[in-house]
Amino acid sequence: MFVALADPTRRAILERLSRSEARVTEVAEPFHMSLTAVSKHIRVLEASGMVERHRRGRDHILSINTRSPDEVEGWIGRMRRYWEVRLNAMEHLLRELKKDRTRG
Amino acid sequence: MASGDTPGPVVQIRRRVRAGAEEIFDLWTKPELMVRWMSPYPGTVHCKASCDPRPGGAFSLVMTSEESRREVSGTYLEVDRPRKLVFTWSGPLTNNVKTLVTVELIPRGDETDLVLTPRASANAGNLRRSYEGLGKHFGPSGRRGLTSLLGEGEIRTFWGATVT
Repeated sequence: MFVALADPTRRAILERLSRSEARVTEVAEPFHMSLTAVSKHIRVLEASGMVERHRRGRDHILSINTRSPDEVEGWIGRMRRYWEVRLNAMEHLLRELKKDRTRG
Repeated sequence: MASGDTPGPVVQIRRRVRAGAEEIFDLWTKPELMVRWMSPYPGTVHCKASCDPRPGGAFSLVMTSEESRREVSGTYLEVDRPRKLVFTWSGPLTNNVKTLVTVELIPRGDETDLVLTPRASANAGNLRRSYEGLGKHFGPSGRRGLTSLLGEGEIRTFWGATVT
């Protein structure tokens, strides 16, 4: 089950974006920190699937990701798919290495 | 499951592998073997890996094609051959935000149970407590290095709690 975000800056960013989409610079404006620092928080929100980014001309527009109502499930699904496929590849390689050994 | 101060695993993948633990461990820590299975873009890309499998050591996997270049990188936090490997992992999949991956290998006769636990991001305080023991590998300057590696703003719990 999804519980609240741990970080107040990220909660504030989500709160801002829940009102309307916004440019990265607009999102960063109210915070007393560098654009780089705010960008890091934005990247964390993007990685979790809660926030998405698209480009409009030169601007990067951020919005709440409404396509995945369950943000955690989105992240879990991505991680699970990625690692399941990688582990399949790992097992495939183990079989190849074994074949090489038996061939001598 | 866990909540608050101790973020529990959000994903855990377990599978029985037909190989010994040492052989599997090598696949995760030897560059010439890493390149043969870790890249999700087989065939079409050139893949280059480097790694330094000891606590505080780095690894990187660079995949290049004509159009693009992707990089996965991280730092080993715990290296216990052939039982356990803990490392940070960031790349395109994670939007270059650090995640924490634990790989445990449990021998089962000729086979091995592999338990893989990626965590969205780890609480810096918990990580520091878990890896206080690393101080003896690093000495005082290394401990500072580890603290900056786990830097306050860098790795934080971004889900206050986890999946039940």
